[in-house]
Amino acid sequence: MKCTAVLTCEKIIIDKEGAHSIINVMLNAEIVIQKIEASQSPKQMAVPHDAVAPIVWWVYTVWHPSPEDAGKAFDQVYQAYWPNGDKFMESRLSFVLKDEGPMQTTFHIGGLPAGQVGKLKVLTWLDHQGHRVSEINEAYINIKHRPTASAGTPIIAYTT
Amino acid sequence: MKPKCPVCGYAMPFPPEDNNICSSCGTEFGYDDVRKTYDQIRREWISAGARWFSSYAPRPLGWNPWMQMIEAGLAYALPFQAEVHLQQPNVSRGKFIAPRPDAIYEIQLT
Repeated sequence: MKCTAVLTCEKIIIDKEGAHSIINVMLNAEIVIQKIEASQSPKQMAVPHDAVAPIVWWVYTVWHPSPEDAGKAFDQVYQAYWPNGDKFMESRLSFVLKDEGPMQTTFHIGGLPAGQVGKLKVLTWLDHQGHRVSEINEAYINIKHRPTASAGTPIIAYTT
Repeated sequence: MKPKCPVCGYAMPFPPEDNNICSSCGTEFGYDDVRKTYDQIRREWISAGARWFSSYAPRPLGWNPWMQMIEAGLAYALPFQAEVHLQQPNVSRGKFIAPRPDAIYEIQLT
């Protein structure tokens, strides 16, 4: 199995026929984090280094199988790492390859690591019967912190 | 499905009752929650740093208190609010234009 695409994005729309539309590829993200005091008024703060923004983001992957891969069961392994190298998450997606055609997979994560500046690294690969059978593929989201909130740019997450 | 701690969202191996203690936030159910609400206990846990409580149950690898709260539907209780602004990197666009033929040939239809 060969991976020909790994993308991180804000949203994926899948229509009734299974056509995938990738919305807002995530490569760079500027994040504003404000502390909520007991008074409920947000204040600038030192960002907690392990803060997670409660937004859903997706990893989209395309696999091209070899003829002998048809009918096999695979586990796609997903890992995400904080910019400092600590592991943020690991999860698996199981699927059976029906035929020799290309395979699209989507996987969503309910929070975006936001507390550290730098490259958020996403790794993904395929396991078959407990052994890795593909290259380890990488994607990155470059995280920056914006010191103060400013208006005029699209906001994809706002939580209170 | 494991029951979730109503204070911190941790998936507990036992129900949050009968003096069971949450390994994540340390809430003793039936004791701590008698005179305090879950919100009050949660605020105290967060104020103290939202640290893993148990010294018996090992902290799960990659454990994150905020992600745990988000996954448990407690994002409203996070002690911070976050805005994410996506920035687009450099972009280069291309377009395919069919090359012109070097010569134009006459085609005779018979």
